[in-house]
Amino acid sequence: MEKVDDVLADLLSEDIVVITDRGVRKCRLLHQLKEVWRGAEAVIYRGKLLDMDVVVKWRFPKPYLPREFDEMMRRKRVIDEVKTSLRAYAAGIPVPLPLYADADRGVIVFQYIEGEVLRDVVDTLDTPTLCRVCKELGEYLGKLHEIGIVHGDYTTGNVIVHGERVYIIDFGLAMFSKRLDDHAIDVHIFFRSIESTHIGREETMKKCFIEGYTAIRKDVARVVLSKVDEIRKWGRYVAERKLRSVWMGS
Amino acid sequence: MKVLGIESTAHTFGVGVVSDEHEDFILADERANYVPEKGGIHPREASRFLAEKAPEVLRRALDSASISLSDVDAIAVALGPGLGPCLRVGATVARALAAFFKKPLVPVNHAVAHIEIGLRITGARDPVIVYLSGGNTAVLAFLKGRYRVFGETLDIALGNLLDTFAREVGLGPPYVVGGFHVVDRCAEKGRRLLELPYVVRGQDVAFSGLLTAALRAYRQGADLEDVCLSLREVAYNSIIEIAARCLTQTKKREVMVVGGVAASPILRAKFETLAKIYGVDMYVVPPKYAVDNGVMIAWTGLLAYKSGIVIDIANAVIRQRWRVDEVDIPWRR
Repeated sequence: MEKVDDVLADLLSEDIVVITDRGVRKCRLLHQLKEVWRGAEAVIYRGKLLDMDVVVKWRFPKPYLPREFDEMMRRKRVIDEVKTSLRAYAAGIPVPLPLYADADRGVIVFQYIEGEVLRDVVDTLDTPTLCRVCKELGEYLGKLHEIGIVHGDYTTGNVIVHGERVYIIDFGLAMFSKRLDDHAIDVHIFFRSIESTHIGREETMKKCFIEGYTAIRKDVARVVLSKVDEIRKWGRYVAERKLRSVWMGS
Repeated sequence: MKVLGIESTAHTFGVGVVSDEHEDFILADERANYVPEKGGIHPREASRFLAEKAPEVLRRALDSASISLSDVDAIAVALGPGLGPCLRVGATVARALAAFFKKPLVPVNHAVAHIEIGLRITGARDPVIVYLSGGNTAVLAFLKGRYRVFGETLDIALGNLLDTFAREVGLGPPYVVGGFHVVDRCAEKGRRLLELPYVVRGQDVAFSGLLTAALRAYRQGADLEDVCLSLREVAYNSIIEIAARCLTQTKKREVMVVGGVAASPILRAKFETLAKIYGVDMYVVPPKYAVDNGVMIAWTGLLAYKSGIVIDIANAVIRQRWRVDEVDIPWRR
């Protein structure tokens, strides 16, 4: 397998001269990479770009794919991720700002966001705080959809909470779409993530999320939410879809 | 303990007899498969075939196990999910046997049975399960007493995608020749990758857009072998991707592939590479037990019966839509 140090060798060995009002000094362009997470299609590193704390996301080559296909996929995802992140940032949605991207190498460098993953801290939040956070999440998703962006993986694992602030991360599966069906899938993914991991809090979380989402999307929200119900019934063998026989159980 | 299991959820009437007394647990494994002359499975025609074959398959199973029905401890039957008319054949036979021979009747979920026989045969302990068959595409993992659906197809199943494409472009039926799916075989000569819709949403996949786009490309004159290659790569990779997501999130150390489509050597090779990247163990259920059979129903029935799961004959109705994540698995923790 390739190593990120080889892929980014030129950046990691480049020195930059920084001139400020406090003088002139030399520093590394990119350094101190430390692996923090290995996901399904990318590895995440913490590091420093000049003196800034950054996160490096490297979509590694997939040896089980034909090379050409792999390169096409990685390029497309890097470009989509950067474009959607920038558009969201410009619309005032709190997302980490992409600072550097290289589609050929499958690399994006993001601003580092301090804080904790919402999924890990839901249990420590009191109900009013949790409600506030979820309402904000509803508003942000509503805004994303209004500007034609679908997140693609809107779950509590992709939200960072830092004090009063809430950030949306990982636009790795994001794309541009104005179709309400696509928007409904985003909401469905969010609901399922809370139902499967935050048993007992899901009612508050859903209610407050819907409040925030509706505040932004107004009447459209109702259409999207009714589509969410439809999507649930797409699943394999969902009983409520068609009831032909009655199960009495043992 | 000996349990007789009956499978008739779709195109197979299978009767298996298993025992927990020996390492060699399969005492009988008899099957009859309905093969349509053309097109897909017509539920009525399939059920007619199953009803005709049922007595003969049952007889053969008892003969090859050298036992009589009075020797078995329980009758297990797949009550769902599946095609209604086909399920009714197996359920009717099972209820009749249970009533006449006064044996306890054990309800079995067909999908759970695919998983349990896979675990029994491969020796996997707690894997991420990739369930690929004609009617199912799902990634599952055992969590809090049930097999939970981590991700699944939002529309059609993988087997369904490959078979429908093959049929529409004239490559099949039959869909599997010499262990290779006709689409896999056709893809071997493909050279150029076309851009087809790759849909991974959260932890789910979707294939209907891919099918439409692939057929359109073919009808607009694209080279069939290129279309096969592109279709296969997009479909297989999206499944690999959600399996990888499940691995990284559940932190399980094993992957097991089950179901009829698991037999594809191409897909298997891809999963082997995936397993190497994540340093996990990979298991593939051998084709003989990856397809529908009575042994898996009998074995799951045995596990369930030992955990006290039985059903009154009067309540043993079929359930066409019976999700795998609705079933409690008390024999595992």
